[in-house]
Amino acid sequence: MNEIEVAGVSKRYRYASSGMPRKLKTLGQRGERVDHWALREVSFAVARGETVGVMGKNASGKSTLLRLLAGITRPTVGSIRILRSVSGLLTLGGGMHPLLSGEENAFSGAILAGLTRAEALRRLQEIASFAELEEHMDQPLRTYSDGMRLRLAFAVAIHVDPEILLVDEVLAVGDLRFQEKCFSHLESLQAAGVTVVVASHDLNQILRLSTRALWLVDGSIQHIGESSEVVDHYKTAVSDSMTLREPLTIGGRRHGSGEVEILEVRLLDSRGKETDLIAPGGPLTVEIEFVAHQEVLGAIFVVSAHGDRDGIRCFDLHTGEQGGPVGRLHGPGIVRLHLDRLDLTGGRYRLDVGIFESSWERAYDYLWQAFPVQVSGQADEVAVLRPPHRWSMQ
Amino acid sequence: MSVISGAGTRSKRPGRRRYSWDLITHLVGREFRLRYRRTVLGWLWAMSYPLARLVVFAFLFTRILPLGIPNYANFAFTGIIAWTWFSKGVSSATSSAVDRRDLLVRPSLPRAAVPAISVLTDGLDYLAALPILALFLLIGDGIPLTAVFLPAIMAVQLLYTLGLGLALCAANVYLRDVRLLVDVSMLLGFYLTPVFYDAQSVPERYRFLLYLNPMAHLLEAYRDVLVVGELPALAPFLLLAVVGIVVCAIGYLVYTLLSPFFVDEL
Repeated sequence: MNEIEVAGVSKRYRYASSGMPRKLKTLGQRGERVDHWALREVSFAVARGETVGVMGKNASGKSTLLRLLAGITRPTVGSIRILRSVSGLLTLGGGMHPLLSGEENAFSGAILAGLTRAEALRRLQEIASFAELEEHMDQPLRTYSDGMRLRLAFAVAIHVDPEILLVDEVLAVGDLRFQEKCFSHLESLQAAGVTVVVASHDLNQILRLSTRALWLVDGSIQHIGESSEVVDHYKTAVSDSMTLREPLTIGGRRHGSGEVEILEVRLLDSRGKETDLIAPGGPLTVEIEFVAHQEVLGAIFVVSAHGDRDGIRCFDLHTGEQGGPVGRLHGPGIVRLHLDRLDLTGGRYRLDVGIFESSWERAYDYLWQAFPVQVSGQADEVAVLRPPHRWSMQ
Repeated sequence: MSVISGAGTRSKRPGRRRYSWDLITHLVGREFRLRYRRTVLGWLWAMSYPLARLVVFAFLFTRILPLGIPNYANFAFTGIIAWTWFSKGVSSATSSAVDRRDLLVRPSLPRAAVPAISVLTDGLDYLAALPILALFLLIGDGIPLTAVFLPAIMAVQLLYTLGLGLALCAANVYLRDVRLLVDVSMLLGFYLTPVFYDAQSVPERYRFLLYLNPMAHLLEAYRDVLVVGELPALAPFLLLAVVGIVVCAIGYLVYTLLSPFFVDEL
């Protein structure tokens, strides 16, 4: 049985004048109408309990489609038939108030998402424990970090007994472990017969969650079918034309055009073992594993460090200044930065790692404050640098 | 053509009415608490605005320009709190859709709840000022028995406030001038409604104009039951209520016709 039926749906957004004078001085003039078709003739059906992925680059109509499915707005042409109640992750964190406590916000969020008071009250404990915020629930939201807020919002969104769940690019919440937890929760909802529509430009998410996928280009369905098949088509098209490449973003800590992509960054100690704890004055090797999706000449690799405590930039090293070893890139590769002595005072630091175009015009991929590293020793020092030294007296 | 079949994508779980009730009461309570959150005096601030006005009027119209109205403080205060609810309710409802986009993008939220929450929250301010009025009445001749009729008058005022609020809210989404127009109208309306003066003191030639304003009738009804201790004449009051129902229905209709497209304009 089809739970969602979308038949010939188009959505027009109209900018500037929508038949109504926008300003007194333009009264009498015929207003210029700018029509933008965010969706064109989209038709598909989703069976009960099925998960369908929606892929496409930014502004391809993914969000518009989800909004229409949520009933937040209506199609200009066509019809949408939906059998059960929709709950969305469309508005993660929206409507939360900084002065209210985590618990009050969770309660409010659950009611806004469609639960009655009694139902919301029953779910509070579960929400708190999923978000791992039990000890913080009575504190006002303004004291929460961004990560805590997102965890709370996500926990609320998936604990409201959804029948149809719409997920819009919001799975990049918190650290990898929490993301994994969100994924397994979504999978348990799928197993329980919840119908899911997930919009993402992360192909791995689409492959993992959905059995079928549709790919939107400029508001039209380019391809629809088995998700592995659609992802293959998408990948082929992407390698054919780099303009289709999706900008890279992870929770505001990553950006880049994506021609060269950082796959993994490893911090290695003197024995080449992975570590995030360095002895003062000890060596550190930063290993950057990347893949160049197309041929790139003379990219610049950058590694810099900031103090976690005060944000002071401790060093900023790149391959640009001494030429460096980087020539032509194509396909996978590894670049290493060897720091013979890391003469930083004890405390926590974060590394930024990036790959830039040879003229510094743009970033192919740049992750900032993404990699924590700890230098052992006392963390109460006011300075950043601890050069090798000795005292003497005559 | 655009069709969303059935009850649209809005939830069709059983107990929708129960849900709407929970949702609206929760949000109204939340808004009210937030309004006075982190203040020392809390909701006592709700009384400050009508009290300040009362002090000015009582001084002005009993000492400087005496209007000769008996029980002037009770007379004026009854008018001030009812007018304040009306004017604040209509103007906050007017801007509610624009201000609370975060609520309108919730799939399960009935859209009409958004302006309704604004009107009802301001209604709580009205209720918060009632103890002061009760105190004034007790100091004077006591609270008349007819005060039990108060909820009926409030219900009729709610109809007008909500009806206007819904229609103006929808208009404001498409033409943001509406909010400013409403604010100016409320300023004028304050003087054109017998809030601090008696309708009977208006020259008879113009009095019919005054009575075209439903708030003029409502204020008289409030004063009848709270200050004078009489019930308002039944037939005119029923007519007022019927017109109120019509106003509210029209407002609701305009709002429901336009609101599915609000988010496109916000």
